[in-house]
Amino acid sequence: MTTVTTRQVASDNIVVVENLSTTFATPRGSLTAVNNVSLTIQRGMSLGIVGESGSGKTVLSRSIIGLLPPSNMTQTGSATINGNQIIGVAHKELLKLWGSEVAMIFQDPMTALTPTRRVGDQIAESLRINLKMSKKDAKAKAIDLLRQVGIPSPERRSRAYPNQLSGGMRQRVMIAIAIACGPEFLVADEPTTGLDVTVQAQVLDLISELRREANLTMILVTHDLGVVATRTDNVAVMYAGRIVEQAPTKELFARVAMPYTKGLLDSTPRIDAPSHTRLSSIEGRPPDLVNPPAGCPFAPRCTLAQDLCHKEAPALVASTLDPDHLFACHYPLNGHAAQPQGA
Amino acid sequence: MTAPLLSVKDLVVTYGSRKNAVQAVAGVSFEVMEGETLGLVGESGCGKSTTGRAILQLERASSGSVEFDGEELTGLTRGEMRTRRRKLQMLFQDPISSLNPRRKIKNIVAEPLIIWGEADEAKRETLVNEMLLEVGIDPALAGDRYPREFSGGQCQRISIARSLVANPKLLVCDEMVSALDVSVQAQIINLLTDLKKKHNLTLLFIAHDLAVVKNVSDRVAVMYLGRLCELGPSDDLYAHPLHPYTEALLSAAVVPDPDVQLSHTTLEGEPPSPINPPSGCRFRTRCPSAQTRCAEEVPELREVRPGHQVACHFPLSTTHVAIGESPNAQ
Ligand SMILES: Nc1ncnc2c1ncn2[C@@H]1O[C@H](COP(=O)(O)OP(=O)(O)OP(=O)(O)O)[C@@H](O)[C@H]1O
Ligand SMILES: Nc1ncnc2c1ncn2[C@@H]1O[C@H](COP(=O)(O)OP(=O)(O)O)[C@@H](O)[C@H]1O
Ligand code: SF4
Ligand code: SF4
Ligand SMILES: [Mg+2]
Ligand SMILES: [Mg+2]
Repeated sequence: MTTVTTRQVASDNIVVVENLSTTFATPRGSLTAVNNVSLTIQRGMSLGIVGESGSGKTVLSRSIIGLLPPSNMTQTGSATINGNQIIGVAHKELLKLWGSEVAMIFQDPMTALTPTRRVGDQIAESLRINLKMSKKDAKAKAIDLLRQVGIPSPERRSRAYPNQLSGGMRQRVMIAIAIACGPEFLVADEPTTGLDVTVQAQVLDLISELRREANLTMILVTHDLGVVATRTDNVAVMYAGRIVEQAPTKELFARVAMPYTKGLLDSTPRIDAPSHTRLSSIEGRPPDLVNPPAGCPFAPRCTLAQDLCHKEAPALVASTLDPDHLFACHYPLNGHAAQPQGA
Repeated sequence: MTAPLLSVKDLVVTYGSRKNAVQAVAGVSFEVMEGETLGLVGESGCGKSTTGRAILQLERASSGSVEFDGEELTGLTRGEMRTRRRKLQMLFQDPISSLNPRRKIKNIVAEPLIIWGEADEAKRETLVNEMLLEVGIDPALAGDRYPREFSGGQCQRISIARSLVANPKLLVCDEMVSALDVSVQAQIINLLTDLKKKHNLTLLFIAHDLAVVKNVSDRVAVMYLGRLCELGPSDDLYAHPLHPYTEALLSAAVVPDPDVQLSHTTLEGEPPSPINPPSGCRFRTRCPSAQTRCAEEVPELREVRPGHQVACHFPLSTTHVAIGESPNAQ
């Protein structure tokens, strides 16, 4: 049903996702975690994916790079990186991609690092496997990388085990591993969630700097609208497995179209608002993805919902105000309206 | 705001012993006035939770005093403390694991009433049902169910019901909304604000999120490596921070608006280990304004603007006080 009018900009799209769905078989029934998502990312740009817990951010970003356990999962649609198809492709093929063109940073570096091995060895191993470096060169390069990601006394720190480093340091090590083989596309899933604000700023600064140097394309998954506002070129808002709004970052924050996005913004406490400012909250909870409601997935919580909303799911469409501003809502805010189809 | 309900003076809490001793709280003093919300903010490991736990005597102070409602708590035995707990409740970050998984919701909420001797079962049931309704949980639907059947936000509501059912005076909230999604977090913050007013509660609100702390607090205390850096009225402290650490924290925070470019002075490095804290000012190893005196002399908290205290030899300049002007009496 939802088909995004692909905007034919003669540009260099490194990531192209078309009608991608990811469904898990669960004991309660099938759960559609990613529901018919289409998006493109231009080379060198960063796309923020925001949404609340369980909205499908992680499953979508992992689906795009093929990093999901296939056992209880089925997928339809397509996702390509640099023209290489990811969906339905053998693990062996994907391995080549992960080592070179694609890299990932996770929220919890502790689970991604091997606890019993020195961090320098873990970086060096990736260099030896993917870049076929000699043991000696890899070791030297690993120390170089640790220096590059801002770890003080990198020679000494390369001999540390993960649990001997702080959370911020471990995330820097993860970033060193991610950039070790010179990827073109980086997926960072909540890379600073759980870190203190000053460390978060350091890590985000580091990622921005590395991106600029290497013209890296990035997906930044986060639940923090503040991080998205300051660190991304474009934003996609997810709700119940769908993209419900997508726009260039400044445009999105200036002219929200979708009531859910507005709800998220209004319920976020801000340090530039006076103390005791009453937050407007969204009542209720996101729908159960095993038994999603008919119509708009946000309808049960939406104060603007009308009959149509409960019957018919709104498609993701381009706005007449800005063709790059997409929204999925029958009654959009701020003067947005759907562009006539095929225009 | 009238008299202090809680006074913490020169509180020191030490973990471990001898060589491995860590002063997690290293001489902290503040007061919480009756009916006010004091926010306590700082980065992980700075001693916020330890301070909260020491107030409830869940950790014992090595020195210093904790006076609550006119009574010194630090010398009390566990048994004596148990009876005081009726007036002094704590709420935690992880609502699901802080509720007993094998007990029904109605029994969980009734627990404090049983402990504090509300013998009449019918009266207990009425109180529990009223309290559940107040936090937005339908007692008829939820009473006989177990915590695992509820979401994080609902479990936090149930925890609030349990903590309020015996009519306490002071709530110590430790990161109680940190694990919740923003829409649910806003629901819980609003609920807490309303209940505070209705029940005339006093709150010590501990969190690392600067925006959340500002939203709920009348005054805010900023903590670094076991000591307070600054304490003042929320709006004043966020608009005109006096301590270089407060300023650094605020400039690292993000706002959901791409057009608001907060000044961005990134603080280098991470807090040093509390095992071997820097001499003098504990922030000096990362402070952009540090001078020789900072290594030699511990800055004490002093009032430099009405109701606004700072522990720094060279506070950020303000229009009200020239640097070096003699501090007001504490
Ligand atoms: N392996 C799996 N098997 C079954 N269901 C899954 C699996 N992985 C994810 N899900 C479900 O898919 C939905 C989306 O999950 P996902 O992890 O993408 O959310 P998220 O937006 O990343 O949330 P968070 O902010 O909590 O990380 C959830 O309902 C989740 O329970
Ligand atoms: N039970 C404990 N045993 C030993 N050290 C502890 C214990 N609890 C906390 N600490 C240490 O005390 C310091 C303060 O911790 P905590 O009060 O939990 O900080 P916060 O709540 O601000 O994150 C940290 O250095 C921490 O590692
Ligand atoms: S489609 Fe209807 S229910 Fe959905 S967000 Fe728009 S107004 Fe609300
Ligand atoms: S006392 Fe010195 S080191 Fe400490 S915060 Fe003030 S200026 Fe910085
Ligand atoms: Mg996730
Ligand atoms: Mg804590």
